[in-house]
Amino acid sequence: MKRVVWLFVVIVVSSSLLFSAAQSEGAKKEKPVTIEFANWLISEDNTRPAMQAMIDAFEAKYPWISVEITGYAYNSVQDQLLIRSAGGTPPDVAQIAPLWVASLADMGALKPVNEILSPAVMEDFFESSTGGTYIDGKQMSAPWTINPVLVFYNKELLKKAGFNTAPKTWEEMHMMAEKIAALGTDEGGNRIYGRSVASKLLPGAGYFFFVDMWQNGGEFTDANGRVVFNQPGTVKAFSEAQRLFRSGVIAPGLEIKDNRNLFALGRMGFHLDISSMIKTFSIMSPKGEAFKDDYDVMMVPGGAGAPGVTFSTDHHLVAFKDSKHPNEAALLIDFLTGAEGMDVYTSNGVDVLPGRASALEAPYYKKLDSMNSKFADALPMARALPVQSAAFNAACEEVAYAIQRVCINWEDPAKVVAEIDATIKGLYNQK
Amino acid sequence: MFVEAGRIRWNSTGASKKGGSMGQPFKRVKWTTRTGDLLFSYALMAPALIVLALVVFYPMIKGIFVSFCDYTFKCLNNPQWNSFGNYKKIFESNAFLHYLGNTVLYVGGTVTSQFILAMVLALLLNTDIKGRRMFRSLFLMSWTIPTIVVSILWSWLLQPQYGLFNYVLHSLNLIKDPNMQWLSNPDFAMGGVILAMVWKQAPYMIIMILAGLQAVNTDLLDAAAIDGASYLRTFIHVVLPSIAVVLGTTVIISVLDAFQQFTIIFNMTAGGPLKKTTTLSIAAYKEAFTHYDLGAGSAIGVIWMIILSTITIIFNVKSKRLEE
Amino acid sequence: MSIVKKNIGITRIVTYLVICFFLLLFLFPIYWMFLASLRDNPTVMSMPPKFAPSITTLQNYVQIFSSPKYLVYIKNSLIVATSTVLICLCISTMASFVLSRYRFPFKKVLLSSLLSVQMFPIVAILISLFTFFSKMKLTNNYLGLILADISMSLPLAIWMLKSFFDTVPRSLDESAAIDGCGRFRILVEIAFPLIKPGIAAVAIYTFLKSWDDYMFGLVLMNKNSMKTLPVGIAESFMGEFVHNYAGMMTLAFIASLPLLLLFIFFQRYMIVGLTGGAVKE
Repeated sequence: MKRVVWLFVVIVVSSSLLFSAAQSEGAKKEKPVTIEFANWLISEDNTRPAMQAMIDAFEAKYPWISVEITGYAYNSVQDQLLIRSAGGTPPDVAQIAPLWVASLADMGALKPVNEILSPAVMEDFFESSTGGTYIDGKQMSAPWTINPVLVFYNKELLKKAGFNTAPKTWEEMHMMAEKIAALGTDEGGNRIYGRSVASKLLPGAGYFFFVDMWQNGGEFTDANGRVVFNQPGTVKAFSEAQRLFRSGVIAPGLEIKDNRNLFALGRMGFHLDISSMIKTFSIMSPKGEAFKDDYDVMMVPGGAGAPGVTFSTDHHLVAFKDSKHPNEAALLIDFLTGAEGMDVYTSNGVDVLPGRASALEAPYYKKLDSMNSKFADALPMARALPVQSAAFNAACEEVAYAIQRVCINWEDPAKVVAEIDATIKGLYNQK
Repeated sequence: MFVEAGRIRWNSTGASKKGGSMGQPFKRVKWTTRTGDLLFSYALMAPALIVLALVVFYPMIKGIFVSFCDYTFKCLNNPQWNSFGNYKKIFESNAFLHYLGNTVLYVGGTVTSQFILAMVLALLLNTDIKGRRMFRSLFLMSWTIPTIVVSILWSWLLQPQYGLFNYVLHSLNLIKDPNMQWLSNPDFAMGGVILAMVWKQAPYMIIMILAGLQAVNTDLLDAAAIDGASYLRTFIHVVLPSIAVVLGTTVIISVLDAFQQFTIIFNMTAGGPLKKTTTLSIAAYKEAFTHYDLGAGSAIGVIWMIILSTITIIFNVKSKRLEE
Repeated sequence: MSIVKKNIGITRIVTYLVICFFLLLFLFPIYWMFLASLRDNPTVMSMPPKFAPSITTLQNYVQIFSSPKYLVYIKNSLIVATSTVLICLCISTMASFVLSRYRFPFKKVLLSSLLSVQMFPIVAILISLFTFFSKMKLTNNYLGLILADISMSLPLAIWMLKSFFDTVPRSLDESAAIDGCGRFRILVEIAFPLIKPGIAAVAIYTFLKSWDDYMFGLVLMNKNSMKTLPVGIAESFMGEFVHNYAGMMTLAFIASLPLLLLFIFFQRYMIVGLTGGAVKE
């Protein structure tokens, strides 16, 4: 009797399974899909509403796709993407810094975006921003927002030091920085600094120093990708930095977040940063929105008589090889980078520039305020960092180490540059 | 005694008579046999072994294996055997001794500071004072803050430009420079990191030592007092032996915890300045996730494991000798 | 007599002073955290610092209580930590008992390899761990994180309980056995109650280790609804651009309060255990 009952149960269960399987085979077209989008915008206060709005708009446009947002702290994103890809369960789409693309590409974890996006969309991306992650003939990531780095300067501090106009050259900027630092302390008795240079032992400090390097005629790699770090221009950049650290114009041992705080507190003369910081400075400053009147931005002033050179720290989007929904991933990437996505992004109060030409159709870009116009003007001039090689990440940390050796340990710049050059060449497997 | 002996003999012959003198059925007939013991031992050890095998042994064995391979993110699926290649790379770079030294400094500094502080406080709390329970609970507060928050909190307190530490010290005229560097000063960075760790971890030691002190047999203390022993002699000959187990255990826990510590150091100094706070755990992380060389990261782990195992073996041998 | 009393009085005052001094050092950063939670970031970072309590904004608290995700972080941490402690206690008590009482082949090997597990840097095995757990469907799953957290505390728990068991005289076991107690009953009814302080110590340690864990939680839990507190704090307040100090301190402060209550409760148990069934020589 028991056996009969069990047999009956088995038949019922298996037939209902078969039945439901058959059902889902039939309803293919409108089958709901869930994709996972990993990013760090959802985690931060000033970008969270924008991120949520973008996803809501995307889901409204494509009702059968629901997006699950996974948030990561910025410092953990690279590790987690590497670990998850190694484990075979990456997200479907991820926001990424170009610096991390090469390592994932080397792993074979990424699906090149030119394989899932249409040629028309691929054409639409700015050349200058796609070049960085064009590896082995494939476009490994799609530029989302391009953030040129410009000089923020505190007009009030400049005025106090006796300057009414912005510096025209790199050398002039340093001269003004020294005068600003000579002001000593502000009303609260807090030390004022001339300019910011990040020197914590992280890659970010390294590549921000490239601005100093370039303005002095130095280069990191030549046109063939050979490491040419050891150059007179680079040594000069380090010597100059050492001088400014020594005289107290630059605060030692800080990472860029500390420098941002100091600028927002009105204790920093010159600071290199991206456009999204405009809103953040208003949040962090005791003066609130009124702080915006205290400062302005300018293109990086050129050094040694040459025009100014700067770079952009971009946010890109990547798709993964192990993703089960490449088509939906492509739709998300297309939406976010295109005019619709950028419109929602900028409508929610974040100042960012797009990676695609057609995105400039968004209303925000038609009426940029003066500060953001300057960032937009710098777009074509901003160099992409040489991120094609996975060794670049470690190399940037070596540059940060060099900064520490020269500016905290007071070693001889020429010697340090030569040694770090050898180390970096080793990382790149070059002699 | 004869009756008991008889009872024991009866059991070992395996008699299966139900109902002993207590009126309870003998469930286990062969309870004194070796087989029963063995089965019992392995059965009770099994869950622990299974959990550890699942979570740690397997990845660890794999880690040991790949430390002998060329194992980067490029070749995740086919690590190439390169025997001692990774080890050569680590030892050749000279940095390893540096990292080891930093680790020893960090562990030594943390454990010693905690120990002294906890001992002093525990002894003080053990005296005849009111409100011991309240004090104990208050001291525990810093222990409840998650490590990641501790690292950010102390980074902020030690921040040169807007940190409280400088403000207080400068106001008390203990330091000249109001924007003194702590975490970015090669000489003080390690101290800063140790300070944060001790702040968080000391409460556990305080509680444990205090508990141990309170469990000291009062009869022994009274006997010592009657014999006219001084405080110091009582302490050395009566108290210390009683709390030896507790002390030993908490010290070992602190040592092993400090060796593994990653979060505090990484978030406060990222291993700098000038790699002066790069301990072995930071070094392993950077090999794996900045240089993308998992083989080298694992190799560091293996070396570390060998060092720690050696220390533990020596410790075990010494404590055995002490017991004898 | 009066001199003796005076000496005792002075000693007591000095004792109180020293204790209060250290208490001040330990508690001041927490007081600062509390102040930060009532202020906004610009105020928090402006110098000179205002030590007196002043409320600039309650926005931090509003933000945390209005969004369920923060309380979810706390909930997840509580679930994981409590389960870890309970399961770890069971497993470690059993294992340490047999390690203390019985001889069996490979015992020495097991004992040494147990501790060696604690000696391999977690960061080096993260990838293998994740891959393995992923295959076993233990990611985004409470059980996975519980197992990982147990493995962090298990070796030391076993080691510590074993030393406590070692101090319980075998004669107690033997007399119980003579009275007809089976092996397991000896463990449960005779030995276990005598090591209550050890149990309490292990429980507190394991709970906090699990509560504190950042690495495993980060790797094993990706879904927002499953994240534990440290991961949630880092993600919510440590962004690419700035650290939200005020928000972070608020959440940490809120999260530490129930923990403190738990520990106060546990402490009573520990005292009872000590005075009730003190381990005697």
